[in-house]
Amino acid sequence: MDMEDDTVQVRENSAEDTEMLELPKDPAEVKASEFIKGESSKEIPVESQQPELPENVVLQSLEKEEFIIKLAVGQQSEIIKNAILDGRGENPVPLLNVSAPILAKAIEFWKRHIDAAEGEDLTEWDKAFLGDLSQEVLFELAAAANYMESKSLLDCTCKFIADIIKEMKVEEVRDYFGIECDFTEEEERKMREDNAWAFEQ
Amino acid sequence: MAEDEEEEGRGDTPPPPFSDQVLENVLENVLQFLSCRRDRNSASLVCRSWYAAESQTRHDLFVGNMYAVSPYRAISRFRRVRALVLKGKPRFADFGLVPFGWGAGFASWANAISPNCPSLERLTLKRITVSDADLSLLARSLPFFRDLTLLCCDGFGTLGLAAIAENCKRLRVLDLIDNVLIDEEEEELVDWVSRFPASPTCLESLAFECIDVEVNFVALEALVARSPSLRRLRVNQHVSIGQLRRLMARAPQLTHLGTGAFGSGGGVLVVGDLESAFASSRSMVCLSGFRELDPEYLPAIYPVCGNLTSINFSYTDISVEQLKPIILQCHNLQTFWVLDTVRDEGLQAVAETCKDLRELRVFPLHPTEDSEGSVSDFGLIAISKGCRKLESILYFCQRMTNAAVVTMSKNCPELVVFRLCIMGRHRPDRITREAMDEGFGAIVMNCKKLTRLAVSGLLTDKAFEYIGKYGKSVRTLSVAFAGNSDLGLRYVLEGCPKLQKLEIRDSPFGDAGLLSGIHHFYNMRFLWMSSCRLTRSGCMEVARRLPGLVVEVIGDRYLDEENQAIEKLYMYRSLAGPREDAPPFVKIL
Repeated sequence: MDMEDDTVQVRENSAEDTEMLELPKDPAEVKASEFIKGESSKEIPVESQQPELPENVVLQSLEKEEFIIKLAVGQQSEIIKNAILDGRGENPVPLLNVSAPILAKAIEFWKRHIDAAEGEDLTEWDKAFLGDLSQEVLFELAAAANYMESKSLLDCTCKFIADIIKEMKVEEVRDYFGIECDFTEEEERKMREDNAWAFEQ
Repeated sequence: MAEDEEEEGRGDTPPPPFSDQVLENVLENVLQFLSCRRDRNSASLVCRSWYAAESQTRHDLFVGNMYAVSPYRAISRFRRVRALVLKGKPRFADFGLVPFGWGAGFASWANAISPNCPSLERLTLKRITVSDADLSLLARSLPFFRDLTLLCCDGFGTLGLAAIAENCKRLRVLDLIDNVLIDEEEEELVDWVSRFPASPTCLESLAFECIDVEVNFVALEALVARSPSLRRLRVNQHVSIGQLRRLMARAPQLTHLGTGAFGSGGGVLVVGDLESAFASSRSMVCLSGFRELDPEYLPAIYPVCGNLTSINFSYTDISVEQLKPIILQCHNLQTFWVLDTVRDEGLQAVAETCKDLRELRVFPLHPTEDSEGSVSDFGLIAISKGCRKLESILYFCQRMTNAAVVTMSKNCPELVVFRLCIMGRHRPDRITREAMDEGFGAIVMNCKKLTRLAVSGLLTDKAFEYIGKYGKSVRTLSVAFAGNSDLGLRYVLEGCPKLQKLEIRDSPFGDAGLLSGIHHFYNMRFLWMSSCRLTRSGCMEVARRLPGLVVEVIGDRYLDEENQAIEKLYMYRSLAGPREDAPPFVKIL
């Protein structure tokens, strides 16, 4: 099969070798739907025999962008996993609350974790991965993890956020998240006292 | 916060779109990674939704003074609490300075907890009076209850223990440490060990060294045999050495062992048999007990010495000759509690071998002012030279020198806790006859991590000047028979911003010294002063100016003259106001 689109790499014939498709920097350029039409006869068993599970899963973002990933990668999200087990794997799994850039990041995370060797410590990789993200993307990734019910991603992003706000003063936390304080001054003073007198030391 | 300022700041870096909403979805998940109470307290102040979320998700609750907040207030804020630590009487209660019946009863907390905290799993109580009825109430109302730790408590007996054993199906920890049980007549005693369910248990830790009555050994052995998760077992002195060997055979997986009597009473045991029991205990790291030690059996512990990280020999008058062969094998020892009967020479042996030592406690065999005393400045110097990683020391002695204390301050920079108790009042430096000011001064100057300090010996105001000047991290300070004038107290109260707990006895500090701390008392958990030079009017002045403090005057005499010196002052900040359970001999000003 000739592939003219050099943004995507696919190996023929070997089911095991079918990697997640490499995503170009700007997901909007991916003509995934075209690709699917071309590839489906070989790589994705569209007429999967029940109860055989499909090899790959198609995910659909908010903007209707489509992403193809290996089953094992997608199973790190309960929503995706359930969609497959319900026999809906051949249709794109709609993830309407997740935008394409965020979904791409989630996929990148899952893929790295699936590929990890037995007992490999990914803490440093996770830190670097999340550290590269803007605050906005970080929050949206956490929210997406929550929505897609991906415990590994949710724990990782939330722990990262928790580490950021640890040691921060209250005002700094508010600034970081852009939260407005809705306590009166008197209320806040009283609560600080409560915390210090009863529950701190 | 002016609205203009907020808008300006926001204009520069607009907050992430949907961040509030987005974050609310995940807030509980973020909060689960905040475990330290300081972080949680900060998080609770961010805004209303954070306050609510944090209250819902706080699992570990620490209340350093049970009278600082009413139980209902604490419980209604943190309904889903899983672990609670509660502390009651001030520490000087351990020395009999708090009269019987003063307070710290657990009943009001038990009544608040039992209907409202179904998720409570772990409870740690320190210096609190807990009754059998309290224990029974908890045991019957909390379905997930699994860890009970009672430290220096009193008021309960075998009946309460039976209730716990019988009803807490998921019990993993029952640690009874240094408690004083109520006196029970022979016929009142309950065989609590037999009350554990007959099926295999989840027990991981069982400690009852402080229970002064025999337990049913057959039941105990059977309990151990059906507790595959048991890792820590500390038995009382009524368990003989032969019985100990049987228990060890049932539980070779033990990591912590309290050996009971370890003496000759109750049957003959060949040392070799005991030694093979220790040889089979490959996970053993902590030994305590030795309550009626027969030194003939000591060699039995050789097989585990190399792995031991903790030894408590403080209940036996072990000699240096008996200690040496053991300690020379304990290369991994980190915690060591011992009596001063091992003498300076014994401490020298510790210093030579235990390079990893973090905590040392040397207790006096005869805790009186005029006893011989067997450890001195030599022992302290030896330890400081050999144990450079030392973090915590409690050292009782009769004689000390400034030079030795200075040496320790320089050799042991990791010290967090330094408690030196020179028994005998106002004892000066053994050699120079000077006050011990320079020694303690060096400690606060050189040990930058120091948070807890206990001073003794002949001390002038100079010592307190040093503490006030250099002790910037000190949180707990204990003073006995020291100082010259109010200036000493003033130095400390003005100079130590982190000071939270101050306990003073028999020192010449009066009202002026007390009043110098007005600016700081709301930052402290408590202040205790007994047999000082305080008068009622001084204490009333504090109570008047700081209405958030509970100012308790504890004494036997009713005082109607304002200038009469008061015996004991105990004051603490509280959200709950004056307590309602104060006995007649306590006056709350």
